[in-house]
Order: sequence, then C-alpha cells, then structure tokens
Amino acid sequence: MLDGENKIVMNAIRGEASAFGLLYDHYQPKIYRFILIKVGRREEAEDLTHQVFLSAWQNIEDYEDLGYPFGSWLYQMARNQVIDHYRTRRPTLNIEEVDPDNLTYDSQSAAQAEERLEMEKVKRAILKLKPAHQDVIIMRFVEEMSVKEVAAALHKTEGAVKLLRHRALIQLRKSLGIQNESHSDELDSTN
Amino acid sequence: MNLIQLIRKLKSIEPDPAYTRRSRSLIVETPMTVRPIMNLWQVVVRGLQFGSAIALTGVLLILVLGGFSVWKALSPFQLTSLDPASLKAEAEAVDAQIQITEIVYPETLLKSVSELAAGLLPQKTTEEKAAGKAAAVDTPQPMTIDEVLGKLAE
Repeated sequence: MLDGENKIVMNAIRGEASAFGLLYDHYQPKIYRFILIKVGRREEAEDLTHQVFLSAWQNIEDYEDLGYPFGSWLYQMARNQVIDHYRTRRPTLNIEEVDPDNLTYDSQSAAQAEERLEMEKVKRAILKLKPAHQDVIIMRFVEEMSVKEVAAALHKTEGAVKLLRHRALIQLRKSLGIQNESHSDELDSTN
Repeated sequence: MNLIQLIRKLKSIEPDPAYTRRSRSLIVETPMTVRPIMNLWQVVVRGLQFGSAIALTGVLLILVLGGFSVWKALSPFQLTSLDPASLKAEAEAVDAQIQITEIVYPETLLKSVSELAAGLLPQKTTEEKAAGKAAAVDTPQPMTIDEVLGKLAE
C-alpha cells in the first residue's frame, strides 16, 4: 500500500491528475504483471493495462473506501478487463505470437537463459489454471498480497481464498511435474 | 527449486518503460469526465416529468379498472346475461327433470348371451345330478342347541 494512500486517492477523486499519476506509478507494474500472466501476450497486456487505468481515472468518483488498498479496486477492474478481452477476442495463432524477448538467449548467459525458460514454463502452467486459481496465485505469491487483500479484491471469504490457493498449488505442481513438496511453502503464507 | 520460489520469480516482469511513459501521459492528460450538475430549472423539469408520468399511469389504471362499470351504466347495449335478477328468474323457470329410462336390450342379444353362457359352463352328467339329489335328501335338518345337548347326554 502506498504511503498516505487515502489522501492521494481523495485528491485524485477531486480531479488532481498528479495524484492519480502517483497511484499509476505505484500500481501500474503490478496490474501489468497480473494481466500479462493471465493473457500471455505483451501487446495485449499493455493495451488492457492502459484501459484499466484510463477507466479508473474516468470513474474514480465511483470509488468507495472500504478499508482496503486502492489496488483491490484496480485488480477488480483488471479482472473484468481480462474477462471482456477473452469474451471478445478472435482465436488467432500466427508467427507474431512468438515473443521477441524469448529469441535473445544467445546474448545472455546460460544461467539467465535457463532462468527465463523456467519462468516461461511457470507462466504457461499458470495460464492453464482456472481464472480464479490464476488470480489467487498471482496476487498471493507474485504480488505477495495478504489473504485479506486477495479476498477483498476477489469478493470472496478468506477461507475460500485459502482453499483456492491450496487447489491451485496442487494443479500447478501436477502441471509442472513437481513432486509433492513439504507444505512449508503454504504454511509460510497462512496469514 | 521450491514452487513458490519459482512463482515469485515472476515478480521480475516489468512493463516497457517507453510504454509506461506514453500510457501515463495519455491517461493523466485525459480530462476527467465531469458529470453535469443540474441547475434549478432542470430539477423542476425533471420533477414535472416524473409527476406527469405518475399521473398518467394513475389515469390509465382508473380507465382500465373502471371502464367496465362505466360501460355497463352508459352503454345502449345492455348486457342482460349479466343481470343477476334475470339470471335467477331464468334458473327458476327451468324444469329440470332427469329420468333414468329403462335399458332395453335387443332380444337377439340376450339370446346369444344365454347361449354363450350355456356353452361355457361344464355339462353335469346324469350320475352327478343323481348324487346331488341324494345329498339333498341326506342333509340333516338343522338342530337346536337343546336337542344337541340332549343327544350328547344320552
């Protein structure tokens, strides 16, 4: 959460573009990551992220402070944008889908390339999950939001979020071919 | 490597700085959509619109619900079938007599049924008929309880 966020949000609601700029700077990378992992393509993630913030700026008067970070409201908008995107998108598959970033391994060290490949593998595995599982995994483990914040953003109870997280991890392990690890990874995040 | 550690590596994903700059300036420079504040005249007009809509709905309801009564009172074509007095008189005048007439079967039908029944029942032999007669003769007459007790005491 941004320092003095409530005041910044109030200023943005009053129409101060600079205040909204601060919110943009803080939340834009998070929302971009969230969308990119869910849609899998950089160009689409950029367009959707832009739409989310534009919509947030134009409808900021509708924002109600319910005691959660402003980010929860943005995540809700991002989720809706992604749902709309999948609803209206035409299925296409062409050569341009190859991410140019993935073709630059020659200039990188072997370790870096291996790490990128691993990340790509995890991204693909997350992409195969159900949308609700994706949301929980990204918010909880990539963005390291608390269970309470995730519950607020997803309009679910904390218990439901924990259950989703548990099921999502099982699916991910299965998808990545990882043997059942000790549950320390889940225990460290029970708050 | 631990699965959670693998997932956390995705945090290194960052948007392109050039895209971020462009998008930010586009959004911040976009004027906020200001919702129009209604002046007094607009408030009055809106109120009149709402009031007239309610009044028209009321008039329509009265016309629909009261239309039938008005028609009954004013129409030159009186609906006599819906006058309760005339309906009662008409009902009293009806002579409702319901008779169950005797069912008459055709003679030929009765004859054929009796013939069919005779054909289906097994014919008794003359010996059976004779045995039946003998059994009827041997059948003792019913005795009173006093007679039975007297016989037992002997």
